[in-house]
Amino acid sequence: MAAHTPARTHRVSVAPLGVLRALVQKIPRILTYALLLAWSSIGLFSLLWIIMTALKTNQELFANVWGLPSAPQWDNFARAWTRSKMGNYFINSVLAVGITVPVIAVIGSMAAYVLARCRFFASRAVLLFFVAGSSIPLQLITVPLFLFFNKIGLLNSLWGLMLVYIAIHMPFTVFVLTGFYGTLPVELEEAALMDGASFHAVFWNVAFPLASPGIATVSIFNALSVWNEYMLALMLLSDRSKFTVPLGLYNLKVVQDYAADWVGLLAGLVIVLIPSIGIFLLLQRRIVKGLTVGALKG
Amino acid sequence: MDRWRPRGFILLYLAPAALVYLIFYIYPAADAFRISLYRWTGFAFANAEFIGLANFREVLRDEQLHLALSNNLKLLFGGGVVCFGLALFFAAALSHARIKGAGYFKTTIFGPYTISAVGVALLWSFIYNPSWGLLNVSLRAVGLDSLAKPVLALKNWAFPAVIFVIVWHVLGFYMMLLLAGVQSIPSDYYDAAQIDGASEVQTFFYITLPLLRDVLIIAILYWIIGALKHFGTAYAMTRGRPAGLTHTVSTYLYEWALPYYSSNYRLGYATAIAVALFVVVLAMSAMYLRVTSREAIQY
Repeated sequence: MAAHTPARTHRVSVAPLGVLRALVQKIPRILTYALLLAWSSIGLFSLLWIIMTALKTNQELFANVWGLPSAPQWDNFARAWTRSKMGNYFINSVLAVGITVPVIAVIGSMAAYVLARCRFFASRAVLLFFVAGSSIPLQLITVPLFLFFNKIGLLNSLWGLMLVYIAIHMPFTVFVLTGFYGTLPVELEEAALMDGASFHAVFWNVAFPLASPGIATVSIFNALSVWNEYMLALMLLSDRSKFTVPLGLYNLKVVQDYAADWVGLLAGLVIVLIPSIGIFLLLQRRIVKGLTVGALKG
Repeated sequence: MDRWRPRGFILLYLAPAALVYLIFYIYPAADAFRISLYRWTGFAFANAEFIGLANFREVLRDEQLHLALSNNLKLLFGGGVVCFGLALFFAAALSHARIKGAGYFKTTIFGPYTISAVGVALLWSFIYNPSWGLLNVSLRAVGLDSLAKPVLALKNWAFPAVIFVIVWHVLGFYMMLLLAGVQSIPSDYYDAAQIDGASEVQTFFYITLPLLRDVLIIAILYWIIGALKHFGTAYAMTRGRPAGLTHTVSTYLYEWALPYYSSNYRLGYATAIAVALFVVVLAMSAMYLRVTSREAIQY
């Protein structure tokens, strides 16, 4: 107990002021949560609303926007899948991704490995050559590709489109994988060489498998990019049966603008959204990790 | 390994990637410069007429194109301020130890970025629907009937509405970039600031922001390039309506390359616009990097 009293001898009870001050100090945090919640809820509510509305009939949609459907109209989804051809579009997109992504990974790895390990006279120039392509906007190549494909008969062909997809993902893939292969420990490869393995064997049996984390990350981005690609597909595909998902979705919108089967259109959208979101939730961590690697390297 | 140069293998392993890349990416890009010098109204080469730089002269005079460019700039600056303001705020908040639920927020804020541009455009077309869209219905439900407008049809609201959608779509990506940057700042700085008695706001402006500079510069560069080249969401949402007021340079370009309502193909002109866009993007990037270059902060 202090025998010495402080200079201020008269202290008003500060209990209420203290509470007020504590509250005021909390305001920034409350506001922060408010903003975070508000922004993140936009997407969440919209998604829930879309799903709920996709299960209604068109009459219910106009009658009561907020209400729950009286009976879930799964039929909407069936219609979207078959009559509106969402099923077709899905198959085309799955084909596109399923073929291009592995091919990109393989030929990108081959190039990246050589660029990372074999310092030949032009290796830096070649790497620069690949990376420079990322400055080329897709808009620049759409018309030339259209004319080029028209001349060689690859127009309106999913295969032609796939070739372009492979080409445009080379800059990103080669750049990232060259860096990645560079970080693999040489010892394993040298050991294999000393055991008499050929260059081919060293690559396919040692380096390539070791690179799977990097390849996985790059492939996730490439898959996302190919799945969602819109501009080139729009230009190079004219047959509805060949449309990929983004194209099909847009076509659906345009068609339905006349038919006014809104719930059918919504169902189509939900069919597209659910897998995207599902895969995202599954692969979140890797996607986010891969994203930030490039940024931090500067 | 450095000294090992198996020549044949090098070529063999580089070939597939290099060939696909050259034939389907580099060659078309180079060809674009040639095509922009022609008037090309059909598909066959026979329709092409060499007109030199006339397309580019028109690019300089085209008012619709200038309007589209002004939209891109609105997106760049207006959208940029909103996007980076929020992204910085969220990145700072979510890396703060005392904010709970960071994982949930990261997921829900980043999530939209994984949806394709068309999906996002469609989703928001529904939300913006004048009669039954979520936006207007919500406004009416709380009595703000007067604010419930057909947003995408109004001259002054249409493109800002599109800008909002674009920002909503990509914010998560920028937030994640900045978050990674914030998390790479060593905690020593924050400890020192705390000892010195700095407030949250002071800590943010004097420590976080300066040390975030390098990441921020790259992020802003991505944004600048993206804003100038933007195509997908704007095209799928409005395709220029009403009256060409919501065109971006890229969507306008498409009207000549893939006309929907008319059969006016102007492939040469469209390509010329693309070339001009490419030059503008390069120039802006170069200028931006020039202006912001400084030694990387070492820590």
